[in-house]
Amino acid sequence: MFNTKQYLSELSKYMELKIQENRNLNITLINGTVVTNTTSMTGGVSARAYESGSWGFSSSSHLDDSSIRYVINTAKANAEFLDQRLQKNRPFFQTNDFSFSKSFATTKIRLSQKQILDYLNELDAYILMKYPNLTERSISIRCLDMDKSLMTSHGNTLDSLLCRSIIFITLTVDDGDNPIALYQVYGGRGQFEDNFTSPEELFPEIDKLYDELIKKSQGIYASAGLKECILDSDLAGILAHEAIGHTVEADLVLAGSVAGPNINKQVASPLITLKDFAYEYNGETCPIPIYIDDEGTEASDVTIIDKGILKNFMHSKESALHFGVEPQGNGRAYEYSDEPLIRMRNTAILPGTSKLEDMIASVEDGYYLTRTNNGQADSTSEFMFGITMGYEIKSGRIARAIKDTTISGIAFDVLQSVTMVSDEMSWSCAGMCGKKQPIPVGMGGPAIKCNLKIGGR
Amino acid sequence: MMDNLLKFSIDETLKQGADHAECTLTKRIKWELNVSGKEITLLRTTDGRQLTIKAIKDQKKGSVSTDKLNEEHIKQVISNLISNCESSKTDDCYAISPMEKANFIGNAIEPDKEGMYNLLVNYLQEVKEKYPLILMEPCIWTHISEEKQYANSNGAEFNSIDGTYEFEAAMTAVDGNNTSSFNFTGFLRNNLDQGILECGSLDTILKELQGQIHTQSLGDKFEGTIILTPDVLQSIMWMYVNNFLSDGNLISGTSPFKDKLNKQVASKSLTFMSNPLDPELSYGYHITKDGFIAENQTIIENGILKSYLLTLEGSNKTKLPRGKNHGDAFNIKEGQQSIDDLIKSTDRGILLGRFSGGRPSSNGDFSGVAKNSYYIENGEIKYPLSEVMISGNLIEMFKNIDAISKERINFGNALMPWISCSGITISG
Repeated sequence: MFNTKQYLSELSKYMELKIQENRNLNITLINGTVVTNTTSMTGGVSARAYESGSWGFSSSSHLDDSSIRYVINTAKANAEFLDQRLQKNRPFFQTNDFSFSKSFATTKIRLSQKQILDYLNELDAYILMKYPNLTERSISIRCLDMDKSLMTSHGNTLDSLLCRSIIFITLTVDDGDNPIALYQVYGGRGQFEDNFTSPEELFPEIDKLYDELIKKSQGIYASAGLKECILDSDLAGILAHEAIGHTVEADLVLAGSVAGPNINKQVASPLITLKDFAYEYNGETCPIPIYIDDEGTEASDVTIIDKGILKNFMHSKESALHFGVEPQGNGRAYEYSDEPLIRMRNTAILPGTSKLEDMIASVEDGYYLTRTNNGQADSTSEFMFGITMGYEIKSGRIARAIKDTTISGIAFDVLQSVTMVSDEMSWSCAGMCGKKQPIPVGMGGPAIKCNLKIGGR
Repeated sequence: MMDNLLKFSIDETLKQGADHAECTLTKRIKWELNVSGKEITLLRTTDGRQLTIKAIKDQKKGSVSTDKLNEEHIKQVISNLISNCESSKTDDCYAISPMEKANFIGNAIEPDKEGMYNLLVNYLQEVKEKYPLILMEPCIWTHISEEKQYANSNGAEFNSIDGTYEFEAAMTAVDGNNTSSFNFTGFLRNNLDQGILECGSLDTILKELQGQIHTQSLGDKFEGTIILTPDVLQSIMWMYVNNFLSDGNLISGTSPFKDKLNKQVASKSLTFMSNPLDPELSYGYHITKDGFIAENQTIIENGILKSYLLTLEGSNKTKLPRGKNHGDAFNIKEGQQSIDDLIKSTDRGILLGRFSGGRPSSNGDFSGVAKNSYYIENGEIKYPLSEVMISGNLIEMFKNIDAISKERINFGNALMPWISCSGITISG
């Protein structure tokens, strides 16, 4: 990486200079055929300048001394282009001198792409051998390294290598009328060598996945309407991220999200505490640890909801200035050519005290929902999640599996209906959050008992 | 004439042992204005180059993309690529396109920066006056200049240069403590001859949003009609194409359309095309992703499936005909009735503004939330809706088309009417 410090004197009063490379590995097998076998590197230099309330940004994939200077000067020129016309006359940001360096690179010997493909081929061979009745089997590996070097005009720096490696396995079976599919994600933070040692370690997980798929294929359609549900931890995490998290991103608050007028009001059950963690929870590193964000802000945890009371929004430097608070490191950018936006990091509902089995036993007629494949949010806090695995609960017992369905609700209404929160926490980091740019995020939570609308027939 | 870098990459890939090689070099320059709330906040310019190399060796394939364009790095990258090929699996379907050569030069290759800035300022002023409750986050007005060069070891060489103006905005209406659902829309153009508010469906969406702050839930469940607006129809056609007509599900065999060529798959009133060379559209393309000269193609004609959107490899794998293009530039032929007629002939149903839902299952089953939508009863729009779910099947929905409007919206990269379909489960 270039030494960015040599350009410090060329930066204007507020600027960020970043050199970053994203490296992706993407291999997909469908029924044993290699349909994708690619690596990509996207890297370059970018600069962002602030001039009295107007921003200028410039980037180039060309990385040498002259292109770095070009990008710095163009960012300044872009900010001046707007400032001359708009003349907002807004103040500059506070400085900070926090610098940090961290790499999540593996210390093990790196595997070749051939060895990684061999690993996937062994998984594929196991599935084919054990479950020949499947109509489709799909295995994908997605590895992402985000390697960046950031400096601000205040002189604080970040050098980081953030890594993620995940395997998706999707199995499909025919239920006699239609194909029924189910997928699971394995892996998380870290490079491949740190998450996957031998294919055999995943065989029991594949067996579990298959068992659930068969139950689903023999299952029924959910009955549509308002139901009492137990959301398992994956779903609680996505609820925290989609249904609440986006509404409290300050740019969306300023654009009218329903969270805006509700600060310091009771928006959820007192059992709910929801946070966006920067890099650590309970002494363990989070899935997507952020120590300094892409604006050079030192990262700290944001308490969004505390025992049901909405306490804080998530901010960039600019929105924090507007609201009169301190930024806490939510300004993130995905590629070198992206400007920082207000993004989540590791958003989670905190665990409570109930046992999952007691929660299920407490439901007379409802559903236990365990997996999702996507979720979408709205400024009204209305949310929608696709449900790919779940079960009926009848008289406090797990009954038949249900087929694909959708749940929706108004997030604050759903959280106010929470009556039990389990005592276990689990994290996932397979997701990519979309908001002009994609970005990896962590989501976590316990199981929660609540009321929400389920789609069905 | 082939860029030296492309020639070097092809030659080096063959030299290192590939049997076939394919390279694409893309240069993309953006000049972009960003709006947040009601004001311009950011001017962003990006200059990116990307080289993608695909190799086939002993009928095993791999590909790599990089934006480090020096020869030393490219040699190393190709060396890794050849290793990746060797470790892959043999498949006779892997191939590259045959020899063809062509050059294409489009419009608006350089941005009119002052023109863009002035149009945006005018747009923000118009919205402030006409729709004062509207806030935007984000609103992005971009000029993209793209040069694409393709070459392969069969001697194919294409060069295309084009420029496009692209507008996209996500918006909400806010009145005190009350907020509407957000909605989004956009368009593409190759000139600045019209004001922003005159383009696509933007004016309609903004007007509707102001009236969607106060909504009602349905309090009922029934099987009824949905009228798909042009914006939502665009996204649904992408679902339809990805689920039934593209490589993934056709290769795996799960697409219900795998044996339906020249058979009735939809209502006779539906004619659906992909026309990247349509002069009515501002956005199109001349080179397909798998290295052919793009042509317009009719996908469904009077309800009969006429073609797929398979790539060369997808076609080789499935033994079905290759698509003449890679999709996009969608065009649905207009019908005979007006939008008002579609609404008047609806007993019970909804006017669907936006669909919030996941990917349909491979057989086409879908469910999700109807956003920015209205309840229709006895031929009249009654009120804007909240918390309404819709579910059905994509294939059945397009078999049960009641009518298609004669009006269409030109988004620049799509021409879409309104379509009324029955047999949808609506609950809320």
